[in-house]
Amino acid sequence: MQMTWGDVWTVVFTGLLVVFVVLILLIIMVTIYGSIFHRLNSRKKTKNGDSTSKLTNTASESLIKIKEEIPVSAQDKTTFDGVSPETVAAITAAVTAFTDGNGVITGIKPAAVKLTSRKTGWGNLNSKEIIGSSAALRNGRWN
Amino acid sequence: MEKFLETIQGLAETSGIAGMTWQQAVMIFISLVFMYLAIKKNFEPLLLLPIAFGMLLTNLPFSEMYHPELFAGNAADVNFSDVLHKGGLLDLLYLGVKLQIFPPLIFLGIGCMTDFGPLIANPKSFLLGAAAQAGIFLTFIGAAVLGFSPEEAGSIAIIGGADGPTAIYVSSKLLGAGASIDVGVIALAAYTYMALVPVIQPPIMRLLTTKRERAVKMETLRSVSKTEKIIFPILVTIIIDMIVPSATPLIGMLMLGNLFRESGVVERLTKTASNELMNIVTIFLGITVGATTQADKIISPRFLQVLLLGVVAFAVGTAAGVLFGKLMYIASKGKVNPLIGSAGVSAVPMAARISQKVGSETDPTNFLLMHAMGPNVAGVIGSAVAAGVLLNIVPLL
Repeated sequence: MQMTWGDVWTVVFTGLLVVFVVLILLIIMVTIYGSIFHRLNSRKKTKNGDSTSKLTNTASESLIKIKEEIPVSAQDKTTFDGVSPETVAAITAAVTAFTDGNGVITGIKPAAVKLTSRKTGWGNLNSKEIIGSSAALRNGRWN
Repeated sequence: MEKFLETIQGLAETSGIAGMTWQQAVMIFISLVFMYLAIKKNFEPLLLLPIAFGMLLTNLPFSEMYHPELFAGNAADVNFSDVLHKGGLLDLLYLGVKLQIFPPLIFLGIGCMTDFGPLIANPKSFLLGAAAQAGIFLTFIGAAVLGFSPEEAGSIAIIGGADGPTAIYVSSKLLGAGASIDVGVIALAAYTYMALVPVIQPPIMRLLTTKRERAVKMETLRSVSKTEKIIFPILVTIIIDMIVPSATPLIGMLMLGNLFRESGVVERLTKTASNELMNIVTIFLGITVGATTQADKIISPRFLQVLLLGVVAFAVGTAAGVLFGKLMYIASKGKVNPLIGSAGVSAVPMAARISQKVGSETDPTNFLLMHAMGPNVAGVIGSAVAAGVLLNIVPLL
């Protein structure tokens, strides 16, 4: 043997010890910053949850406002201009979210869809695409 | 007529056939076997094919493709003027090995291709990556008993890390002029065993685990945010450099590649490092490592001893990983599948695939791959740290 047993055991023990120490240190560091980020992310999620519930609240408030503005006789009806209160609430919530609560809904009513021709769905899609393309050309956008 | 016969005789005497020794013939045969394994059996073809062809080139009689005498001793002893004036293509390319340029560049590419997410999600995987490094240090004992010098023993032991670039990096730094083995021997043994991971590991894994342990289904890993993934390579580089600075060239490049990948702002660099650069360096590394396997160095009892110790290193590393996995299985009350421990030997991603394969043999609905990727990439870090430790301690003996 070119080495003494002392040398051999020094390499073995020191080597294993250093590898374990370094990797355990990494475990500690990764666990610490992992938990920090996990907390931050869950906080963010909770915040987002709050803002969503805020939006929902605003939407319900808007709905209440709308209901208040509607004459009592109209409130008795289950629909508002043929639109159910649930749909009104959903549309109001979407508009409130989109406009950050600054949007004002003056009225909601269903629009009749006019069928100009008895084309199939594919035929209508084609005309829509042509309209879209010409609009894109006018705007100078082409993608 | 006499002149003609003399010329023919002269040509015959200087031909390859006349100059071939039986050792060279054996090496040429081995290179052909390696080419067969790479092409037909798909055994690590990206590395095995260039290595095998380099082996063929260097063992062809009078080929003079590679001159080992130009590289005798450590990198500091190399006479670069001689290499430039007397050396050929393979000599010039070999400078990348001798000066430890290629292994860190390979690590850069590996970093670009590695997702440390499973490791960050389950940091305890680091322990399995550390346990599997036991193969390195226990093989050191075997090499010492067989009479290898500390430098040679360190170079042989690192084969247990199952990491080709790390093995080349350590051996090219440690092995000097008087060494009885050289980098080519170590690299050849390391890559042979890495190609044989699917053969070596499964029997050990089955032997050390029960069916119940192999069937353990692990909990889904938590999702890891982009910020966590960006911080990880920076943090690891700093911590490892603070403790084992000699591992920094490998770890630093690995983590730089990973930072490229995770930052998402240098897509071109990520693509280059993980594709073009990686492929170029792999060609250079493979062919030059193959070129170092000259018959007189390979066909010797020393090489057989290295091969024997190499397989011991691999087996011990795998066993240590699985046994530590069993320990974690007990400590976690059956939540950890011990099979993922074997992936701690590095050999990315082959070792993780083996964990998945052996696990799915017991239960086809068990998906261990992502869980095994944690110890697998921890093994890369662990073997680089072990390399740093060997580079620090061995020269002091």
